[in-house]
Amino acid sequence: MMMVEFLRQGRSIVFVVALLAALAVAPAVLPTYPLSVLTEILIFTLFAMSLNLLLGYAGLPSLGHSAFFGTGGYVVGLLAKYYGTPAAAALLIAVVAGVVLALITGPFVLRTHGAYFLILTLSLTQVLFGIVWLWRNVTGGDDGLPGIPTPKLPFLIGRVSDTANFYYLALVIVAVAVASLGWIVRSPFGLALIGIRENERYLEGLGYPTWTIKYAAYAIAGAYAALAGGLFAYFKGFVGPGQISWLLAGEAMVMVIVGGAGTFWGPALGSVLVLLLRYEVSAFTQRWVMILGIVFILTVLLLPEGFIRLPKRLRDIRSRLRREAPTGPTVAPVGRSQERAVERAIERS
Amino acid sequence: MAAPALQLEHVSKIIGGLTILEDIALTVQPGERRAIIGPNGAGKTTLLNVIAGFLPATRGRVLVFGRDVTKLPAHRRVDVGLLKTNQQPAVFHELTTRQNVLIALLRGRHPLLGLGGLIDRDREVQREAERVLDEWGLLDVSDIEVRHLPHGFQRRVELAARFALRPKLLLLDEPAAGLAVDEIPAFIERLKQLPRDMTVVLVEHSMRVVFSFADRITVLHHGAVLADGTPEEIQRNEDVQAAYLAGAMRGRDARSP
Repeated sequence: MMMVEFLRQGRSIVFVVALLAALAVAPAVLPTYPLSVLTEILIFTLFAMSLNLLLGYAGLPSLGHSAFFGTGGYVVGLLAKYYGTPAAAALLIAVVAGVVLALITGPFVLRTHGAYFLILTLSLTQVLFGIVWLWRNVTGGDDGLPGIPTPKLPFLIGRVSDTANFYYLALVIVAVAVASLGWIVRSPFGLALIGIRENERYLEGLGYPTWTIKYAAYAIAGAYAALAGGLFAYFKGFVGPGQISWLLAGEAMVMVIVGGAGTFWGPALGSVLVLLLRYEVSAFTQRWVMILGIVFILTVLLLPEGFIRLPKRLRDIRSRLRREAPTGPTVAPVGRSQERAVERAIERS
Repeated sequence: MAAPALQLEHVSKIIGGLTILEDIALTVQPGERRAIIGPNGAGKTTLLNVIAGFLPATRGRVLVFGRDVTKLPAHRRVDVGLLKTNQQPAVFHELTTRQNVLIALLRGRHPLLGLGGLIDRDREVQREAERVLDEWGLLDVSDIEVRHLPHGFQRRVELAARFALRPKLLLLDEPAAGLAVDEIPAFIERLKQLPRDMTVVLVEHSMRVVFSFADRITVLHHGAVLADGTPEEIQRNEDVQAAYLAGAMRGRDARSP
């Protein structure tokens, strides 16, 4: 038992180190365009992971998560345009704005569950969309705020391209944010979020202040989404109503579900899949959205737990085929050993 | 004298104009085993939910160990030592047996709503979970998701998680429901082994469980207390006979070996 645990932990450490190493050397091997796609993937990974905290872990289906993403973007855009605030301070203020927005709207949207929660969060982002659309002299309306200067890591200036420089900046911020999200889901708070998804009332019966926990999760998710939105505004050098639209929230939801809701790395995989589809398939056909739709439907039908479960699913299918084949080797598949453990326990009791 | 473990004063519950509970008075002494019986629809489960705080009382007061908890939400009532089990075992199906125990043990252990710690790093809670799993004979199934377990095991997981929190007042809502007839004697034994510093209020249809376990019995009928007394008094009570017990007692005789 301990050994298995140790191996599993060891494997995940190896995975994280390998991933970070690959991401660190990526600018050396990737041309500019793929590198900018990778930057976008990093930013959307953070956005999707923040949504996953609500949708996947706590079971709160928010369709308004773009409200926080867009708020972060507009805070960065407005600060850059009117005050020339440095990026570090602007991103920090964007995060604070995300938290404040969550703390204000939380008491309203968290009164509801399921479809009603979805509709209320959707309305929230639509209200903000309306504000930035109509408040033309501040937000630029549908023209948005162009010309946001892209921040650079000072010690890399002149050594790598500008694209690579911002890529490293995004990588550092996203890596630290993802690591802190990893802490959150492995903490008792993270387990409590799953408890809320499973049965909020049972969790309350164990003495957990479930409403407060949901409120905190909503604020935390808002903070990370605002950080992602701020980074994205710097990345594009632009912020516009599209970054606060519910369509973007829907896209993040697709990333989470396709990748694997409620799994830690699922949303990252979802962000890779959706953005690669968008940028690679769109090179061949205008109908990439249709292909995304087909992928989405197939995922929900065949891999309801997301693409992250693909290896496990393949193993299951292989072991089932082996069990059915009369001449095949008699290897006990995973499911059987679990059944046997239950049987053993029943006999003993 | 010490305050009663549980005291209900004029508790009423009206839902949508319908009176579910009417002017209930109930006093349970510390360490007592109290059974609440009554026909279906008598309001037994509603009463437990009012005590546990899942439903607010329309009128009246609920006191636990002398403390007025009428206005407290359910999770705050756990602080005064009150825990409740469900008719359907209150377990988290997608979590493993171990996680179900851990989630109970981790309540309030770490600062910032639990954000200030890591489950794997808390060796003490891991050891305690191991001990609880062992005590309840759940080690073999500790890493299996609870949804794969049979009903009797889910009940055991539910009880293990609650006992891990050392409740002072335990409310059991039909714990024997769904158990096979041959599982019931072992279950009664387990109930009888509960420590006496724990007060137990039990809602149960199985008269075998009720009469072999309870010190006192309260009979609910149409949302009101019909009778209250020792098992012998209840068995002799003619109102109870007429309202409920006759049929149920015949059922009990039929089931006895």
